[in-house]
Amino acid sequence: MIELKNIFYSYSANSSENTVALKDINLKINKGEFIGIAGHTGSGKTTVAQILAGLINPSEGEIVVNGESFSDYKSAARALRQKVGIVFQYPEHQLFEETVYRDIAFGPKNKGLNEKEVDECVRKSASLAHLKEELFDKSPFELSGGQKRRVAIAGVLATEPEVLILDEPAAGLDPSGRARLLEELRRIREEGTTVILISHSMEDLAENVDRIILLGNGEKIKDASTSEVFQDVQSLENCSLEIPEITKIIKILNENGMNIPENIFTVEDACDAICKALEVSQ
Amino acid sequence: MIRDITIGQYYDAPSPIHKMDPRTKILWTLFYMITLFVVEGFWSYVVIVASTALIIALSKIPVKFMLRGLKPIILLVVITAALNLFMTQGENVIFSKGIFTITLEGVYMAAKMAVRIILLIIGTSILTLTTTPTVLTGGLEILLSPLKKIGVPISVFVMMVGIALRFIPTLLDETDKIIKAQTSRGADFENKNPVKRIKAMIPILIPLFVSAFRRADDLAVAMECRCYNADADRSSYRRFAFGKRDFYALMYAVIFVIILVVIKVVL
Amino acid sequence: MNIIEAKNLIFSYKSNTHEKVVLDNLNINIEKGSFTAIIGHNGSGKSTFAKHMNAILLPSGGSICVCKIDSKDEERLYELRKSAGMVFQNPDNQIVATIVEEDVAFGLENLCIEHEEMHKRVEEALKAVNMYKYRKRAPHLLSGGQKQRVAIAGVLAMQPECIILDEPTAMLDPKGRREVMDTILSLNKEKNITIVMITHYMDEAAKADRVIVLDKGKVILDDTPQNVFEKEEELLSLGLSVPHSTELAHRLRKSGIKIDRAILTPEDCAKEILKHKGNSYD
Repeated sequence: MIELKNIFYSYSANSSENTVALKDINLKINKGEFIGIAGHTGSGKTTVAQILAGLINPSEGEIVVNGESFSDYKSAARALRQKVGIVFQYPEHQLFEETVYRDIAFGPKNKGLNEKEVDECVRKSASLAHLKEELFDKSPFELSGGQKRRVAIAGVLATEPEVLILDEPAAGLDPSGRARLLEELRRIREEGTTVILISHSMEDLAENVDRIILLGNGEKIKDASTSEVFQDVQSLENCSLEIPEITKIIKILNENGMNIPENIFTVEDACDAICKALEVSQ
Repeated sequence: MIRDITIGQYYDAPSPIHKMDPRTKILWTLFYMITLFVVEGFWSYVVIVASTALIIALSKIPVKFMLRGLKPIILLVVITAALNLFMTQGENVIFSKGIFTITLEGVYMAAKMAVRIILLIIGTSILTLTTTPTVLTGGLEILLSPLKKIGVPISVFVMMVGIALRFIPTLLDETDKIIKAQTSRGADFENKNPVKRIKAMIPILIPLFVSAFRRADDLAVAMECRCYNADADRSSYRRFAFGKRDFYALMYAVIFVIILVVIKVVL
Repeated sequence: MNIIEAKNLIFSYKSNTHEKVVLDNLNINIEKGSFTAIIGHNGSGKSTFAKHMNAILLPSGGSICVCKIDSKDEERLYELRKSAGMVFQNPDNQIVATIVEEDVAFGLENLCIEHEEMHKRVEEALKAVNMYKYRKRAPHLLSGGQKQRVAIAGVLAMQPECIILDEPTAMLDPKGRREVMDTILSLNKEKNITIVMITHYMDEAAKADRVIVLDKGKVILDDTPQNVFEKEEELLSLGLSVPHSTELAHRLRKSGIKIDRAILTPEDCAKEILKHKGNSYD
């Protein structure tokens, strides 16, 4: 659906020389996928996301949207903006309206929808983001941190993007808030939206996404299915990412002569596999 | 665009200008600004431009970097120049069509104003580029300290300026992020209609204000935790002392004035 | 000796309709030289408690003493704040100066420390957090983890008995979290500084000597991390979680695999599992 070909991005930093933030990035986003983008801070994750969302233009390279190749970045950006919605880190900082309802309605109104259509959009996205309608008339600034974040996410969902990009959406939430948010993402994905989750929590990625794009120093290090990426512990360590505890345990066990499948990330699966392995050996 | 503004930024380089006492630099800049608006005549400006170029060279700031800082004010320069070009009455008409009349005096005036603004920005930029904001405010605090005697809260004022400077980059980043977030939600900042354009600013300004207040609140608590008390005396990490460089700067100022006076008398 | 003594500490505030009790009769003593982690979901009162340890908030009932100084004793307010330094969540919002070393000096300037002594202390503090080579940098050019270490140095320079950290890693990436955690641990172990850390990362709490679980302003659990994380169900019901290794050990135990000791790290977990594998060779 969206394809980036040989994308470079550089910007002028504090001095006169240019800093290259992205080097020769090639990637394809297919409809209905749940993709994770991982990488350390400064690896280019956010830059890729902003290019995909049509917010910044690459310095070089080709953008293909729905099979149509754009050499003119301005029209590419316009096409991308219509398709892609992006939830930035700490999205609650972008709320501005007097009421929750009006804030969520900002996107659909900009699209020029009539009142009834706007209303439908608002209600639908609010329910996707688990927001109760009682909150509609409240000021977004009165809500709790978790609620504010869900209002902000609903505000992006209301633009009905085909692709939803989220940059560290769970940052700063407590464990239960985190779990609830990830569950919402799974639901949004089931509704047919393509979801791209940017995160440095490898645990969150392991448990949710199907495919992981690993970035390091502006280059694509790996682009493969989740289980394949996690079997490559070396690459993860090179990108200074945290390896999930379960992966660590399985790695130690296998180094010590056990034979446990390496594509296991959840505690339940690991428990079953370990039980099975121990029974066999006993 | 936002990142191009060099006023208030610091450019680290091992130059004699960087090492100079901030008080010398502040006084020099003040003196430079006054001269800029007092002097008349082509040769005087040549001397000022040459002297500015010398200082830039001494400061080891790349010229490209300096020039980039001028980008945001191009519009201001153009408008001022244009106003002077068309508004100045004069006898030597070079061009006249309808209500537009350009005179030689107008051209001269326009050029003078453009040069003045550019030099003014460059001059103040050199001060801020070679002096860290804390040192700058520290220097200001000492220069303005006589005002403390008449009850002006200089220390608090200097602390406020310092904090404002500290948060400029943070808030610029934040502005950039908010603009992008609202663009992604379909906000239109490029509308030709000025009323719509102003309205489009609301989704940026409100979050920015909310964020600035939240930061101010956090910072106030953090400062209190580190025993800050606006009314109490504080010691200072920085110590300023006039050195040889400052003496040279003073000598240079004297020579500078003499040259300008000579030009005025001779030409 | 106790550095912090909270006796029947109550904190409540009145909103327009009802009175909200945030801290409900807390009795907590923190011993000198210890490392205590406080966990609890958002709104459990953990941050409010932290603010009491520095007299930013004053108790509505009961009392809290820090280094034998009652927080209500206005005369000794600065003495109290000097003894118990505080580091906050958002690294950006606690750095005052535009140059790292000057920020570290900020607290010392407030205490009117004399010039030579101040330079000595700034240097020591920056070295202790491993930021000495960044002393001339502008804070906004540092990474989150580095900024947070500068904030710790700023507190450290004031030579406190105790450092209270309110979710210091919540806004950091894994690398930053590791840097900050290592710094905190080394200050505790090597400089014998008492640490009270509020966090919602369970793996960080697992590194403390003692974990206090707060809920609705009350102490629910207060024990070693081993014993606290044994109570998985209770923690989950409070909206918290346990480290994945602990969870796996718990499940394995339920499936009939004997694991005697409490598990906090992946290494321990693997070691215990491997013991069973060893049986097969007997």
